[in-house]
Amino acid sequence: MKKYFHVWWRLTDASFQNFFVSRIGAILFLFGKVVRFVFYLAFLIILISRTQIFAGYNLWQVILFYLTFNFIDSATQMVFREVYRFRQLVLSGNFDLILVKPVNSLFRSLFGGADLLDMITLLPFVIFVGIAAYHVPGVTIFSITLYLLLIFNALWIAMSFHIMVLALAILTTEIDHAIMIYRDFTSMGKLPVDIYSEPLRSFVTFVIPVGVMMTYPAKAMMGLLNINGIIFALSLSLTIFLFSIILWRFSLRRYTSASS
Amino acid sequence: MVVSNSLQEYFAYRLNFILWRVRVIVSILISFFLWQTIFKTKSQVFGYQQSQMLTYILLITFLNGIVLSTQTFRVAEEINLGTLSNFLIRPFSYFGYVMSRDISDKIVNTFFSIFEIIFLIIILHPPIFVQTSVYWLGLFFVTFILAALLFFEIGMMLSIIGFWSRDTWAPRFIFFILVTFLAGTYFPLDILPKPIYSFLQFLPFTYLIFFPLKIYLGQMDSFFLLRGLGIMISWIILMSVILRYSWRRGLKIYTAEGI
Repeated sequence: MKKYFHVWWRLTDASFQNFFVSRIGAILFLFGKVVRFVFYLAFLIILISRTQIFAGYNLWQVILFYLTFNFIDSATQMVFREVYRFRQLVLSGNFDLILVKPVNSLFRSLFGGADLLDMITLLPFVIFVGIAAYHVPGVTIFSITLYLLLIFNALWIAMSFHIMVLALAILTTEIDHAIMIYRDFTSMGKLPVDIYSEPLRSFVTFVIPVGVMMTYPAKAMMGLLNINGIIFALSLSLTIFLFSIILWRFSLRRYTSASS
Repeated sequence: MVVSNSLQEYFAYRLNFILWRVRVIVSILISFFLWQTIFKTKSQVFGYQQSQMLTYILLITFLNGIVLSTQTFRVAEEINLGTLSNFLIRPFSYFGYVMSRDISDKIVNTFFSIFEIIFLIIILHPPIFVQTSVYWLGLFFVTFILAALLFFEIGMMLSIIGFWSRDTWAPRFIFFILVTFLAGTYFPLDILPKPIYSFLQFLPFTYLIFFPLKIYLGQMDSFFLLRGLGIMISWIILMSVILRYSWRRGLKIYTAEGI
C-alpha cells in the first residue's frame, strides 16, 4: 500500500510539473472550465427563476443536483486523468513498458498522476455544495452521511467505467474517444434523471447508471431516497466493478503488443 | 478529390464515426428533455411555444453539422509539426484545400444529422414547428451558409495561432465553450436579460446558431433582420481581412521546425 502511494505521489508530482511547463495553456483551460460551470449555472438560475419549479424540485435543489454532478465529474477527472492517455500507449506499443515494471499495470494505467486543474476546482465545489445544502429543506446529519456514502459509491462506479475504457482500448483500436462517450452519457446527470421519459430514464438509471452516480447522492441528502435505493446503488457498483475487473483481465490476455 | 478522400477516410472508421454521432444525440437529448420538462407546467415560456422551442433544440443538430463541424484544427497540427510545408510547395491553394476538407466534414455530419432529427421525431413525438414560408426558408438557407463561412474563418484564426505558439488547444477549448453558450446551442439567446442579449448581438457567436434558427422560426422583424445580416456580413469581412493579414505574417516566421 505504501509502495503504491509512493508511486502515485511521484506520478502526480510529474503531472504537476507538466502543468507548469505550459502555464498559459493550463490557465486558459482552467478559465474555460470555470466559464462553462458559471454559464450553465446562470442558465439554470434564469430558467428556474421564471418557472419556480423544475420536475418537482425548487431552485436550490436543482443547484444541488448540478453541483453534485460537477464535484463527481471533477473528482473523477482529477484521479483518472491517465486513462485519457492510455489508448496512445497501446497504439505506440509503450504499454509494454508498463507491463514489465514491478507495479500493477491496472494501477499504473488508472492512477498515473492526478490532474492539478481539476484538483483546483474541487474545493470551491465542496463549498458550493455546503451552501446549496444549507438552503435545501430536510437536510440532517444522517442524510449528509448517506450523501457522502453515495458520492464514494459514484466514484467507485466511475472507476469501474474507466477500467472498462482501458480494456476497450486494448481490445479495439477503432474507438478513439470512448472516455468522451462515457463523459457525454454521465453529463445527462447534471440534471435530475427524473426529467427523462421512459425507457430512457430506466436506461440511464440501470444500464448506464448515471442516475445512481449523479442523482442518488443529492436525493439522499434531500431525504428522497429510501433504503432499497441505497442497497440497489451499492449492489450495482459492486457488480459493475467485478465486471470491469473481469473485462480488464480478459483484455490483458488478448493484448498482442502488435505496435511495439 | 479532397472531399472524396476525406469521405473515404470517415467511412474507414465507421464505428468511431457512429459513436461520435451518438455523442451529438446525447447532448441534444439533455436540452430536449430539459425544455420538455419546463413546458409541462407552462404553455409559453420566454415568448416561445413548446413547438417552437423543441424545434429550435432539434434543429441545433442540423446546424451543428453544417455550421459547427470543422477540420480547421488540423491546420494548427500541420503548422506545429511542420507538415504545412508539404502543402505549401504544391500547386494549389492551401485555403481551398482546407475548405474542401471542411466541406466533406460538413457533408457527412449534415447527412447524418438529418436522419437523427427524423429518428428523434419518430421516437419522441415532439410538437414541431414546420416553416412553410419560402421567404423565411430562403433566408434560413442564406444565413446558415454565411454562418458556416464565419465559423470557418474563426476556426482558421484559432489554428494559425500555431505560428506563434504550440498551445493552440487551450484557446480553441475556450472558444468552444463560448460558442456552446453564446451561440445559442443550449437555449435561444433572447431568454437572457435584455442588456446581456443586446450586447451579444454585436458578437459573432450570435450569428452562428441563434440567428439562423430565429429566422427559421420566422420570429423576426425587418429591422432586426437587416441589422443582424449587416453585423454578420461585417464580421465575415473583418475576419477575412484579419485572417489574410495574420496568415501572411505567420508564414514569414514559419520555420517548419517540427520536420
